[in-house]
Amino acid sequence: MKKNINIYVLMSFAVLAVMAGPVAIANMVFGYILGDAPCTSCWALRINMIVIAAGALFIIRYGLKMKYLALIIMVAAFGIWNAFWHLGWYAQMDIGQGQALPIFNLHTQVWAGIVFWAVLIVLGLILAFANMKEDQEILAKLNYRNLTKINKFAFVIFMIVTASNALQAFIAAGPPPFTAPDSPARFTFNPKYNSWSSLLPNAFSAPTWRGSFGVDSPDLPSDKAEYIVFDNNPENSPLYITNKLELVSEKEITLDLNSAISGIRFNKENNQFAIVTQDWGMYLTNKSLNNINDYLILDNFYFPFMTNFADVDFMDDGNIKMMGTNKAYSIVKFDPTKADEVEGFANFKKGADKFIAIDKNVFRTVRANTHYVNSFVVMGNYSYTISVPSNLEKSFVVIKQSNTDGILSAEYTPTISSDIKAKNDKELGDYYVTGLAKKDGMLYALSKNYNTILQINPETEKIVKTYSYPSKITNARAIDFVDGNINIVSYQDGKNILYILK
Amino acid sequence: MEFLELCLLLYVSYLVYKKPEKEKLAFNLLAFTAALVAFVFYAIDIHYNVLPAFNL
Repeated sequence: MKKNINIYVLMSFAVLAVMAGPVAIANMVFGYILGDAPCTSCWALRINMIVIAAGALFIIRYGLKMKYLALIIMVAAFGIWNAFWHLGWYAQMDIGQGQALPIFNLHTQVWAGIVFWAVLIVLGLILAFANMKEDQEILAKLNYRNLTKINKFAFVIFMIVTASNALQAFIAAGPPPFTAPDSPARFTFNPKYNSWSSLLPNAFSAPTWRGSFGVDSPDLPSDKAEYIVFDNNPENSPLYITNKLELVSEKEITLDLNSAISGIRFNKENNQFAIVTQDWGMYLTNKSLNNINDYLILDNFYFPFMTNFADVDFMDDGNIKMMGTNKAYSIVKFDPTKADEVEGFANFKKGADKFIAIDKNVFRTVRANTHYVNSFVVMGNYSYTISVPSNLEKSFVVIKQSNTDGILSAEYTPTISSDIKAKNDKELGDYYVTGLAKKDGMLYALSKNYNTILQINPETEKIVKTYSYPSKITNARAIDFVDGNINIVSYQDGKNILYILK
Repeated sequence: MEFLELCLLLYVSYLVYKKPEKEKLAFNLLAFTAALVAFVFYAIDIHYNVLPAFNL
């Protein structure tokens, strides 16, 4: 293919497109006319566009050199990552929300990413189709080219727009070492409303990879979390204990399970237990817990990815719902007559010939979105779970999920009934809820920490009673009511042990 | 610092336009400015969240 288009003309148009387009519009229209002041990230995006345009000016003046291309590609790549990073703060917001004004319904930081992406595309097209041989003899002798009118025009526009941006930066951010503010006020030339400050000292604080999303895995039955030291003494409980549970009996559960028990539920209609294990096993057993009737192993990898099983419950229609610690859930139906092993292959590693997958999905929370859960119970039309504290933040958020559409219905931190005293040095977030049960319209939250069970009234959103259980139970993972007694399963000393309390 | 970065870029364009024989100085200044932009952005924003702040 014949390449007639001069690379220096194309590069000049590329400089004009970047400088007279996004850079000038952001500076003059958004800044001077609409009063939009860039934050530090927006300045970085904008200045990197100017760096790329400057790289193109080098090509116009000195010909195509690898170091110019290298700089343009690296800065464009940095710009894409910068825009992606900036988008991260707003990507999960509701419709229409975001920073600064939208253009064609896209916020400015998204446009910046599109510009850097376009730079790489256009650069590729120029390299593919432009005539590179022009002025090669001159460049060999003089080391630089004489500029044509369009080349000079690109330089002039570059300088005018850069100077105008420098003016805006001086007014809004100030001379060095001052920096643009993280959350800028409206741009104005009036010095009365402008103040300068420097955020450079922030550079000396320790960096973090993921900020509030740098959450370690939660405590699991057989994998203890390293970020928390558990205390099994109920006397140290953040709330004073109102009731004391006594141990009636205990026994080891010797069923052949694939891993430690993380949840248990008794179905009095058919005298069966449903047990879930840490590693995605769900077992239906007899009431004596010495015989497995049926079981499944869920495929946790594929959509949605499910971290370890947290708990299990029977729904009103008889289906069985399993909750993962990352709030991914799976609903299955036990139906050996209709289950199709081939159809169920995608969902189950084992048990596809007995169980039918009804739903597998995730639900999103707001207050607890950076916290895992370790418990779950179904109550009527809703499922309840409670967040657990992380390595970064304490948390005790009761999460209510609709069983109709699987979406969050409510989130709250319960208040404490006036007849329960709280200890000043502790908070609800010091509890670590690993199991939930229901009885007579009340929720019973089993905390592994401080061996306490909190009785919560979901109607009033209040903690109405507190129960202690014996300190010999060191790793409580599951709770339910059976024949009026509280059953707790604890995984300790490498065994699943059932404790019956009254 | 943003003002400094933009002044450097303005000076780079002046060198390339009016004093093209100083190519080495101009390019080194351009590369320095790109590094400065990255450093300032790191210092002020990124070190709180090196990776974007959402569920990755």
